[in-house]
Amino acid sequence: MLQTAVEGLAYGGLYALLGLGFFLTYGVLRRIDLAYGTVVMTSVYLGAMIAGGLGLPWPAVVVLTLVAGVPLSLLVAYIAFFLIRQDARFSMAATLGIWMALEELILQSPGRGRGQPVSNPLQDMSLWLGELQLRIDHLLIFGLGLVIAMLLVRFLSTSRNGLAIRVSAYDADVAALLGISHRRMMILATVIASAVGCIAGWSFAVAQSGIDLHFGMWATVKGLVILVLGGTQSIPLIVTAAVGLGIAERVGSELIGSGYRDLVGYGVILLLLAAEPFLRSGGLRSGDRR
Amino acid sequence: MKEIVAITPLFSISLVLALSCYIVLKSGEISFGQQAFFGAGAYSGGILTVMFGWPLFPALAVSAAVGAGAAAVIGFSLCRVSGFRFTLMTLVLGEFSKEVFAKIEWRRAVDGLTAGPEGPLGFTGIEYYYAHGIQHGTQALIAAAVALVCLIAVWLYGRTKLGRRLVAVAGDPTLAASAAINPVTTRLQAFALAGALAGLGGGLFAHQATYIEASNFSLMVGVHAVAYTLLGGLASVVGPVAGTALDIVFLEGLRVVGAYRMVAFGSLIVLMLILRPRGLLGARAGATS
Amino acid sequence: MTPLMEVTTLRKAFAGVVALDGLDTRIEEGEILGLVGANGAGKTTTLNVIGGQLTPDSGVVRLAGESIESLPPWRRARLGVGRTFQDSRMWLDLTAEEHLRIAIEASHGHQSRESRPDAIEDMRSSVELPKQMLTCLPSQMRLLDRRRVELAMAALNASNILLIDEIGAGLDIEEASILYRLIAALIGRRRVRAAVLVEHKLELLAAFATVIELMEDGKVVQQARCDDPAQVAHLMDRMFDRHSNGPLKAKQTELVP
Repeated sequence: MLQTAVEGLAYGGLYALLGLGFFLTYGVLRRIDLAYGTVVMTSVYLGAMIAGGLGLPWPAVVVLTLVAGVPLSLLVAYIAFFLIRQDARFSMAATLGIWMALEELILQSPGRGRGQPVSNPLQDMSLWLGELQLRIDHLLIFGLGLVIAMLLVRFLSTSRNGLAIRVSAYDADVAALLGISHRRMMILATVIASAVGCIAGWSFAVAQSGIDLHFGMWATVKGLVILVLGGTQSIPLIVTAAVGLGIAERVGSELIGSGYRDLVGYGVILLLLAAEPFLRSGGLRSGDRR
Repeated sequence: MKEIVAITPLFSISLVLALSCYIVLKSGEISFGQQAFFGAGAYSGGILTVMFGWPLFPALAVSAAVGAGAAAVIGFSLCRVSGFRFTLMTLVLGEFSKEVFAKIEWRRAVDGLTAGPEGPLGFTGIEYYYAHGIQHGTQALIAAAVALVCLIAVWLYGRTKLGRRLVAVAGDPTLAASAAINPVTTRLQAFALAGALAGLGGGLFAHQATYIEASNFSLMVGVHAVAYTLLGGLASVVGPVAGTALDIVFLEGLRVVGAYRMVAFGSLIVLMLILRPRGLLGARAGATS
Repeated sequence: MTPLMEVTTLRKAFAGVVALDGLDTRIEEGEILGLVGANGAGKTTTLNVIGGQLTPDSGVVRLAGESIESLPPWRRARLGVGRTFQDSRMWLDLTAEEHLRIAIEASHGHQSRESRPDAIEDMRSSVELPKQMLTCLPSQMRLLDRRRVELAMAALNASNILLIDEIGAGLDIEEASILYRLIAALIGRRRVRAAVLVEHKLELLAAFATVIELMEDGKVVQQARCDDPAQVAHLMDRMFDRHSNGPLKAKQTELVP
């Protein structure tokens, strides 16, 4: 049981990274990018495919992933959030179209949508604490989630750009009055979110020793769930929700049986989401404003 | 003629599902989970005709009722949230129900043979049409008739008190509530109707396909149905018809773009949203505020 | 006798910013209560808390003796609370007639069926909306006529109390007084029992209201009956003299009955 909980920590770190990506884009752009996971998947897929084809070592996968992922995210943001501005629902629907197109392009790529191996530099390295096995790569994923979250907190609370992003997220008009370009902040937030997502995608692929098409939707769903559960206000809450969900899913499926893992995973999330409107404080009715 | 007979059932079933999404979109929300009710209708309809020897139409009625009931249950919570929370919840619902369908295992002796869904192996032998000697032409007619009935029902719904209230709630929930309209109930009624349509479409699908499995009810099924309505526009029921026709007849039927169908389809959605969004989402939704 | 509506020690804060700080007020049948005060004094919040758009953090809202502060807005509308919004709110894609029809259907949905063309015509004439406007979309109507439709919709539900938030905003004083005259007529004909008006133009309130209350920092600090010009003058003094020194302020507060 404890072993499972520890494995859940690694998923928690991964979920935290995905949740932070949505936290940044939703915070600044007030838009939901349904193609987020698919863009990350596509980037890791391309990175793994190219590095595999050329026989490059593992750091090349990371670099290639970022090289593909950041411009791709900017393109998605430009099309879905900049060209389509009037309604958040239009933007969300557009990211859906991009998602469909990207998945098909991966299917038609030389990789044919088959899983691409991603080499694990820390294969089979474990720490043992008595009976407890701690996989180094899992620990690193969890650590990565925490470190990136802390860096983001520091960045948003102390640096100039971080403050500008927060002002921009609070009110674009106020930001404009203070001489902050909302568009520049949107670009900055998109780049950071995409880099965080790419690192999350790559580390997941490493832990799973490969990447396939399913990762895209899976990552989008998990990231959005974290955003709903953790809220749109605080990074520590996002990380807490992510770790909580990671552990709850692992332990839940361990208790019920691995054949029911996805069933339990989605069931837990569905229950949490369904309970959420009843748990929220009564003051949040539609049109709650002065 | 042969091509028309071949494509009509697929077109009709897709249209019924698209109409289900159309109603949800009319309420101002995007659902990627209508395939859950579609699947529930498919399994329940198949179980009734195969395992209990029901005639087709009563079984289809039960499919619709199961879809409506499931939608009402989930809608109790779902209709209290909006925006991306709504969409996310439907997305998770779709994936969850797919997992549930893969676990449905219920075997029963029928005429000396066991029949019924076999969990991950799917549900084979839903051969009502074959067993009753119903030819392809008649099958196409049945599907087209059901789709037409659904189309008329949705059109009529839009002209009733309930349809007007739905437009009001979608346009401005605060204003609607101050005009004594209960937004949650209004959306719940619409969602149950959407569930009924999806369930009915699913029942039809099961008998047309004769074999169903969990992967028939994947996220992409629901996403396509939404996309049809987005492509055709929300102004009237003509929208989903046009959108479905575009994909089924041109992209799939005529294979205009070959293997890149999804790329073309996805790009088309984006392009339409950039070029004429008012004609798409919410032509009659929105409010001054 | 229980007042038609009574509001007791209402408090509401938004993320720490106090909008209502122990508000008390009451309205009798046939009265028009005017709320004045600087921006941020809590006038709109008061209407939102009475109308149900907001739930108060604490305090009680009583309508004919029944506490309604925890009911959702549509329930309050059915109990006879009608509301218009500061920013003209209409459904972009519906005609004026459809607006009235939706409001009539919603307010009478649970009662016996009444003939709708009559009800629509009745509402149209009560707000003096020109007949040809019925088939217009909001974008085709001038602001005054949009405000007439909003008023008609609100009045349909407002068998008890009508909450009007700056209905004159964006209109000149003549146009605004047309609307206030309509509101006064609705009360005169007992279509509506009472009204609460939020308005910046004091002279309009002095002409149409029964009582004016001055709000500062989320509570009522001074009250004036409009049939007493001296009270109104005092209230105006205080309103335009907000930053005056302490003793004067204290002296004026004593004038509150």
